[in-house]
Amino acid sequence: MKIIPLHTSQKSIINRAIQHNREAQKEIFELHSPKMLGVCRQYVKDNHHAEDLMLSGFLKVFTHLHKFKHEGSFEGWIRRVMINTCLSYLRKKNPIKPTDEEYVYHDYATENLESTSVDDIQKLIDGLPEGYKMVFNLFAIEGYKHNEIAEELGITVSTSKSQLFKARKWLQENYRKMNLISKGHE
Amino acid sequence: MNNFEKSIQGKMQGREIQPSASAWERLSSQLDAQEQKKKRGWFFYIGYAASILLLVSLFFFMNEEGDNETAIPENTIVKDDFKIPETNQPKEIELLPSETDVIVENRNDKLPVKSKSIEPFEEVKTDSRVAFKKENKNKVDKALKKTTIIPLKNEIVIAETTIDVDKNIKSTPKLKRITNSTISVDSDALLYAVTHSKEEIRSYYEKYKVSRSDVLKRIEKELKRSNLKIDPNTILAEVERDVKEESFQNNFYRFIKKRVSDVAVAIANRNN
Repeated sequence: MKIIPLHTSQKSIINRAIQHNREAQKEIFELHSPKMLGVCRQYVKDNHHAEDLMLSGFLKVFTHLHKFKHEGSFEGWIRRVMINTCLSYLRKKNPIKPTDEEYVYHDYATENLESTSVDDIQKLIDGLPEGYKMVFNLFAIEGYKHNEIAEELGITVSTSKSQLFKARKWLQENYRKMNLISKGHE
Repeated sequence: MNNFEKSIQGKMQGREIQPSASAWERLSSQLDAQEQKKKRGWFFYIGYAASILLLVSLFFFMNEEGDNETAIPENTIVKDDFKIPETNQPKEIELLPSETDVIVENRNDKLPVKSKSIEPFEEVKTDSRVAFKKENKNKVDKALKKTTIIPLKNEIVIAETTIDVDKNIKSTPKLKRITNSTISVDSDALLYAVTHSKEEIRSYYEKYKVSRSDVLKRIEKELKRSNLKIDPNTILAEVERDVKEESFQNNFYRFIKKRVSDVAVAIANRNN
């Protein structure tokens, strides 16, 4: 049994994909598309729309593949391209109106979501207003810092923080409502 | 990040959604379209570049041609002696050395004359007023003999015979280079030579006791009456060329008057 080091194999696939080798491109697509569709789905409410955004993201990935320097994670690089594609789309659709309001941080989130399914969590996120959703996704799921979010969305750091605070409050309230409804049904 | 967010992150970050079966096909067709666009763009750029290059080179090529054209006049040599002879000046007969024909040129008429034989000169119709005389054949020969042909490498130098109206025939060895290999012979000189000799005219004047200066004055008078600005010597030369013994026997001055009126009519016709 021949063992091919993963990074060597990935590098060679990437290099072939840069040379417009369709097989290599398909290989990359099949390997990363399920996760990337999951990322895109966080920003838009239906799978078809998310798939369109994902395809648009992969088109950018293959067009700019020669810019990848093999220094970081390839998946992380693709993920970032996907997030930027989604944010560009949302910003074109609904330009973010920054509100530089002061906020007071209160930790309402004490609930444990271990028993909640991914679909229910996605439904909760889908219900968030667009501005809150972008900041929450970037902060809570992608792990961006407030200054990175501010730079990415073209808003101030305090706006990013206030948007996150409102998103968190909105989610907790709606999570409680959702639990109450489900318990009531039971 | 609080517990609530951490638990959301834990569930959502690694989430996978399987794309539709046609996803790759759609992406593949998009990639094809993009690559074709890129290739077409490259060819378009090459096309544009080639077109611009062609236009620029054409522009410079045309400019260079224009410069050459303007440079031509600087190299042209203007020859003063290449003037068109005036009406009262003797005309030339061109002899083509490459051919055996001689072109007798007088006004607008051109008639071929073979240089080997003198016979064709009988056919020369230079002017209706000029009657050719068979008895003067030998004089034509003499006139042609006076015309010497001196070959110089590829060029031909010819001694041109010209007419001095006052002194009848005078051979002037005026050297002329003809680069296009043609021989020029003065037509008037040739015609004059085939009609009368200086001695013959003089003998007529003496025989019929006519003063040449009187004739000249009479011509001048007739020209003034006809309002013609022509040199009387030219008319006299014309008269002397055509004159016969019968003209002297009859009324010579009437003959002169008729000649002047003929000239006036000829000039009027030409102007029309």
